[in-house]
Parts: sequence; structure tokens; C-alpha cells
Amino acid sequence: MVSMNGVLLISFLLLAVGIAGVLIRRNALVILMCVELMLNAANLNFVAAARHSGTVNGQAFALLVMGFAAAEVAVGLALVVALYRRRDTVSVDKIDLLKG
Amino acid sequence: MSFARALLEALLRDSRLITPQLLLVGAATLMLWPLDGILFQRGEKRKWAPVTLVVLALTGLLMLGVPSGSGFSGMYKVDGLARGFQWISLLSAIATVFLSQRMLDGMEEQTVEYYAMILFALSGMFFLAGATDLVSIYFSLELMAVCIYILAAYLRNQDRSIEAGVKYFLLGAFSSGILLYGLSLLFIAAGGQGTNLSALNQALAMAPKNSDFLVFAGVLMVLVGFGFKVAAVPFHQWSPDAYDGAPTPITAFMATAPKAAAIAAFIRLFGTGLHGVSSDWVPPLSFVAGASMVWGNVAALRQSTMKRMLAYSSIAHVGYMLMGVLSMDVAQGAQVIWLYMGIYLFMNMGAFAVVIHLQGKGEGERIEDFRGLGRRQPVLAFAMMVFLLSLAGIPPLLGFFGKFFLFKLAIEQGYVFLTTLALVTSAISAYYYLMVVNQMYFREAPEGDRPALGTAIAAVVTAACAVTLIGTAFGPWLLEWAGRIGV
Amino acid sequence: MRAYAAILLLALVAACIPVAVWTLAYFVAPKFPNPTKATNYECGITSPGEAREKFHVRYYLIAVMFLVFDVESVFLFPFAVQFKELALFGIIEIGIFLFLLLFGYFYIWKKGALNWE
Repeated sequence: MVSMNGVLLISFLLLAVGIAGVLIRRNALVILMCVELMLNAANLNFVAAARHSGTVNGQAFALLVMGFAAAEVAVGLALVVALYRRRDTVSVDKIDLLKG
Repeated sequence: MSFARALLEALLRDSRLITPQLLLVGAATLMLWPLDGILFQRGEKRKWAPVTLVVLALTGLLMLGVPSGSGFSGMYKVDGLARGFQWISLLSAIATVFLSQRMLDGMEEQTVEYYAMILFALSGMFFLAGATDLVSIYFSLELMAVCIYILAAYLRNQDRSIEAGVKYFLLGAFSSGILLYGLSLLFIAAGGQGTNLSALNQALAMAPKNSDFLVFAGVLMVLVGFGFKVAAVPFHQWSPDAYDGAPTPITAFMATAPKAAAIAAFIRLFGTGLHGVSSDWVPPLSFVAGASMVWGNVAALRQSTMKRMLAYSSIAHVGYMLMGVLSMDVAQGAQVIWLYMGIYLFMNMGAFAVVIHLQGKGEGERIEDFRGLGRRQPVLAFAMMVFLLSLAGIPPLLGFFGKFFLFKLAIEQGYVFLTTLALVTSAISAYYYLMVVNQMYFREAPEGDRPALGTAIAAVVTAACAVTLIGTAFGPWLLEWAGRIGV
Repeated sequence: MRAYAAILLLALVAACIPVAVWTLAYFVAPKFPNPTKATNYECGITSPGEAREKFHVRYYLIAVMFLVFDVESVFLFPFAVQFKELALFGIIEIGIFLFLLLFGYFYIWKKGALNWE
């Protein structure tokens, strides 16, 4: 069986890629993808922990997270499309009406 | 076969615990489809507010009949903490429906989704206040958050509203990713078996030494995630923008109901699930609490619009409330925070009601626009003064007692420095609240007519002001009373 | 780790084959470039333009709704695996779930989100 440390390493790398993407990329759609990456990093942990301990709690958690991620992306995409219709941009640098 | 039978019986038995949520979700679902278009013609949007209010009133009635106890394999628990914060969220939703009337009347779009989203969000808050399991905490938090992203962007023909929604969504989704990863680390450290908070606490106590770092990283990430959700410094950046751009009634809602539910989950997660590893989270949480008080109040000084000022002041109030989470005496900490949050609800709703009243068409109201309110609408100005002074915590108003109980507990728990900081920043906060009072009473009013006071807004202002004044009279006995009703 | 050695070997061999074929083709194949040859092959008809063009916003709407209904079906799998053990309980639970999903479907239908005017 793959050791827990290996899983943690991979999931941490996934999380790091996700966080870096959110912080660096300016395109709202790419940020959305990076958030998904972060959720999947956590999912990996849950599934691995479930397999390691021989119970199914972690697997159930991961399944629910997948369902939630779809709902979140749906809402996010709808918001980004609404933004694009009004402002003709999906860049987070160009949405700066609210400041102070 | 007996396995399935036991599950079925448990389901039927435990459903009694969540009757208010079932009503909320069921009613919102029915409103979205069969009722819209069958009971009411499409476009008859004014009728949705009474329907929503009836649903909310019925929810309140059902809450009275819900028995205490734990259910759904220990995922959900009805106790004083859950009930107390559920009432706060419910009252906030009722006030929001009242405050939304004028904005929705001026809109062309359908409004049924607006109310349905409030009901769905409220059901998420109800679940969150009673969640006693990592799974139920995370998903009720997200149910609440997703509905509020939509509400923040509800005025989809206004750039500012959309922008508020997108910013809130992106940062909210980012924080929920970090929170989930933190939960997964805790889950691994606890052996990857149970997700119940009490089981988690026990498992973490027995966790092997080499998983210490895992626990610490998990706790920090969970703290970051919750910090985002309650808008505590340094995770607050989204909140002034989201508050500013969102429709003002929704801003009032966001400042009270989700915050109450998230704070309840905060108390439960850190007080129950992570109680044994408190040495990991007390120092960072103390920092977050202190930073929120300082930065929230200092930044509020520089604001020129009322909504942004109230957003920063709300960050500061969260800082005060987090001092209660730091208390090792969980039951008493919960009581004190509940009182503070309940008091804050009335003052905040009242202040936002006045802001909404003064608002023109959707744009943010500047602090200068309060000029001369004292002469033009003396009763309203008096109510606003009561709310502002109470928010500042000036004795003997109700807000003072909220702060008094909180600071007293913090001193008893040994957080002397933090309490001193809280006292100093409270004094700073009095300055910007009094600035508005100054505008109302000592500046000349501009030319032009004020909008007439609508019935719905007047009702909210009156109720909030009455509660604040009556509560003031009973101030010293409030904590005892909170203890008696079992919060 | 020994079990993974075979996979590693397979991966190496798999990576070598295309490299070898490309190298061979580079040296052996005759080259007579002309513009017609360089265009994209689309079943023989003339290419209408770049593949990377903007899609109409309607596609996003459909994609969003497809995404939700597609991923929600993930909850049917654990139910199907444990169908016998869960018995009536499972039927009730999945019934509630599917009812809500169907409700959402009728809602977007009624809102006209599925119309492709």
C-alpha cells in the first residue's frame, strides 16, 4: 500500500499549485479551476485516509465534496458570465469599481 | 435487513430535529416552481414577501417544538447554542425581507428567487448552528455561502453588484478550499475514521507524536478558512467590497445572519472538536482577534461611505467576539458571544434600515448625506443615534453590556493584553460613530426632499430601537437570563 | 517497489517508440511543402477559420447545467452498489435526492433556460 506520507506530499503539491494559481493568475476562469484543484487535493487526503483506516467515512466525504464542487462551479461560472456580459472582461485586475 | 430498518427508524426519529429546515427548504423549492405561475401570475412579485414572512413565522413556530438532542449519527445536535444562534439568523432574515421591499419594487426582474435564496441560505445557517461533525459543518457552511454569493450579485444589471458577487465568490471559494484541506489534515491526524467532533477530540488526544505538525497545519488552515467566512483580519479583504457592492438589504443580512451561524460553528469546532489541542490555536486566534479589533476600527475611521464604514466596524465586532471563542470555558464563552451577537443584530439592522431609507437608487450612501437628519426627521435621527452609540458601546446603552460581559470573561480567562486592546479600540470606534451623529445634528441639511419613510423600514427601525432601549433597562440581568434559557 | 519496475519499464518503452518514429520520419520521409498541404484537414472541405474562436454565451449556460446534473449522478453509484443492503431506506433517500434533482430540471425548463432560440 502507498504510504500516507507519499499521499500527503502529492496532495500538498496539488494544493500548492492551486494556491499559487489563485494568487498569480488574473483570469477568473483559471482561478476557478485552481480552486477546484485545491478541493481535489483535499479529496485525495480523504480518500487515502479512508483506505488507510479501512473505513468509508473519508470516501463519503470526498463524494459529497465532488457534488458540492459542481454546484460551486455552476454558480461561479454563472457569475463570471454575468460579469463578462456587463464588463467584457474576466480579468480580476479590471474589476475595480469597489475600492476605498 | 435489520441494518436498513435501523437506518430508516433513525431517519424518521431524527427528522423531528430538523423540521424547521425541512419547512424552509420545502417552501423555497415550492416557491421556485409550482407556486410561481400557478398560485400567482408571473410578475405578481409583490406577493412573495408576505409568503416568505409566513414561511419564516411558521419556521419560528416549528423551532419552539423541536426537541433537544443529537441525531443523524451525531452529525446534528439541537441544544441551547444551536437554538440561540438559529433565532438570531431567523430574526435577521425576517428583518431583511422587510428591508428588501423598496429595492425589489423598483426592479423589473422576478423576485421569487431572491426570497427562495434567503430561505435556502437560512436553512444552511440552521444546519450550521447545530452541526457537530466535520461533514455537516463544511457542507452547511457552503450551502449558506453559495446562496449568499448569488444574493450579493442579485442586481445583475448593476456593475457594482456583479463585482461584489464575483469578488466574494472567488475569495469565498478559495477560503473554502483551504478550510477543506485543513479538515482533511485533521481527519488524517485523527486516524481517518470518524468525523464527529467529540470523536475527533478524543482521537487527536491519542494521536501519535509524529502527527503533531499535521494537527498544527490542519488547525491553522481551518482557522484561515473560518477567518475568511467571518471576515476577520487578515482575511477580511473581500468584506468591504462585498458589503459595498451588494444590495443594501443583503449587506445587512450578510453582516448578521451568516456571521452568527459561522461564529456558532467556530465555537463548536474549536471548543469541542479541537479543545484538546488548544495550545495550537490559541496564539494565532489571539492574533487574529487583536488584529481585527485594531485594523477594523482604524480602517473604519477613513471611510466616507456608510456601508464601508459599517463593514469595517463589523470586522472589529468580530474581533471582539473571537475573544469569547478563546475562552476555555466553552459554555460561558458561547453565552457571552450569543448575547453580543444578538445585541449586535438589533443595532446593525436598525442602522442599515436608516441607510436604506436614505438611499437613492442603489448607489452607496455617503456619510455626508446624513447632514441635518436631526432637524428633518428627528425621530429617525434619534433612533440612528441610539444604534450608533450602542454600537460604540457607550454606557448605559445595550451595546455596552454586550461588551462588558465579553471583556469581563476575557479578563477572567487571563487575556489582559487583548482586553486592554479591545478597550482602547472601542474608544477609537466611538469617534467614527460619533462623526455620523455630528453630521446628523450639527450640520446644515442640503437642499431637496428626503424620501418618505416606508412602512416596512419604519417597522424595522421601531422594533430595533425598542429592543435596544428596553434591553438597556434590563442590561445587568441579561447574562443570567441567557443562562436560564440554556444557551 | 519491485512491482512498479515493470510499469516504469513500460513507460520508458512507450516514450521511446514515438520518439523513434519521429526521428526516423525526419530523416527518411520526402518533404515537398505547399500551402494546401499545410492547412487543417476537415473531412476535405475548406477550413472555416481558427478553432479558438469565442463561443456564444448560450453554450456556457448549457455547460453549467450539464455539469451540475452530470456530477450529481455520482451519488447514484454508492446507492447502486449497496442497493440490497439499504433496502427501503436507500429507496427513500435516493428518492428524495432524485426528486430534488428532477425539481431543479423542471425549474430550469420552466425558466426557459433550455430554449435555444
